Amino acid sequence: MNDKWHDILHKSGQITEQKLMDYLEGRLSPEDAHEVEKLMVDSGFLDDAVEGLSQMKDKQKIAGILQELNGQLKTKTRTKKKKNLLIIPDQLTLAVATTITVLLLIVIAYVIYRMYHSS
Amino acid sequence: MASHLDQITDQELLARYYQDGNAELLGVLLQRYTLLLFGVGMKYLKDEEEARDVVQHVFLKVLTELPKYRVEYFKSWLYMIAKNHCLMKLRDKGFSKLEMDEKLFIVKDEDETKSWHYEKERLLNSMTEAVEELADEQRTCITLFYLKKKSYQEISAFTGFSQMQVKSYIQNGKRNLKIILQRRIEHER
Repeated sequence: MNDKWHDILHKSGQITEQKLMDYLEGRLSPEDAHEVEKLMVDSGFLDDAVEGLSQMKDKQKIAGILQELNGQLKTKTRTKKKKNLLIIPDQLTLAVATTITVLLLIVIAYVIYRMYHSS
Repeated sequence: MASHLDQITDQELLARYYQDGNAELLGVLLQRYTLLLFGVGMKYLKDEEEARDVVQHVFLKVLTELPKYRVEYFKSWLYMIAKNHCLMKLRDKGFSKLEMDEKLFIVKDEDETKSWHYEKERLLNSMTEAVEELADEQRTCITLFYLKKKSYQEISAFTGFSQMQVKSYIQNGKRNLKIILQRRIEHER
C-alpha cells in the first residue's frame, strides 16, 4: 500500500491547553507546531480559536481570563447540583408515602376480610 | 472531583451525565473547551469582553439545553452554538443578511475526515495522482505539509506565501483532494 500520504487521512487527536498556549506564544519546535497545525486543518473549531486567540496582544492575559470563566462555570454547575439534591428528599418522601399507603391498604383489606369471615 | 475525570473521554463524561444528571460532570466537560470558545469569540467579535460573553452564553445554553436532548457530537455542537451566536451578534451590528446566511452554512463538520477512512487503502493508492491535479500553490503547500511535515512558518519562509495563505492553500487543497478522489471512485464504479 502506498502509505506516504497516510497523514492526510489519519484523524488527529486532541490538544492540551498548555500545548495550544505554547503554540500561540511560538514556544514549540517546528515539528510540534506541525502537529498542532495538523489538528487545526482537521478542526474548524480549533482553527477559528487559534485565529481568534492570535489576535490577543497580551497572551499572558489569557490564563487569567480562562481562570475567571472556569470559576464562574464551577459556581453555575455547583448551584445546579444543589438544585438536583433538593429533588432527592422529594423522591424519598414520595417513596415513603407510597409504602405507607400500600401497607395501610393491606391492613384495611385484612380487617375487612376478618370482619366478613367472623360474621 | 475533576482530577480523576481528566482521563475520561468526552463521550464517557456525557454518558455519565445523561445517566445521573450531575451538572458537575458537565462542568468538567465544558471546561475542556473554555479556551477554544473564547478564541472563537475573539475571531468573530474581536473584543475581549464580547468573547467572554460568548463563552458565558454557550455555558448557559449547554446547561439548560443538554438535559433536554441527546447530543452525540458534543464538540461540533458547542462550536455550532458559539459560531451561530457570534454571527447573530455580527448581524445585530449591521452585517448583511446575505453574508450571515453564507457563513452559517459553512459550519464545518468536526468529523469531516471520518468518511475518508472507509476507503483508506483505495484512496492512498490514488492520492499521488490526485495531488498532481491540484493548483500549483495548493500542491506545493499540501506536499510540504503532509509529506515533509513542515510547519506553516517553515512553508511560509520556503514559498514566500504568508502564513494565512499557507493555511488556506492547505485547507482548500485538502477539500479539493477529497472532491477529486470521490470523482475518481465514482468513475471506477
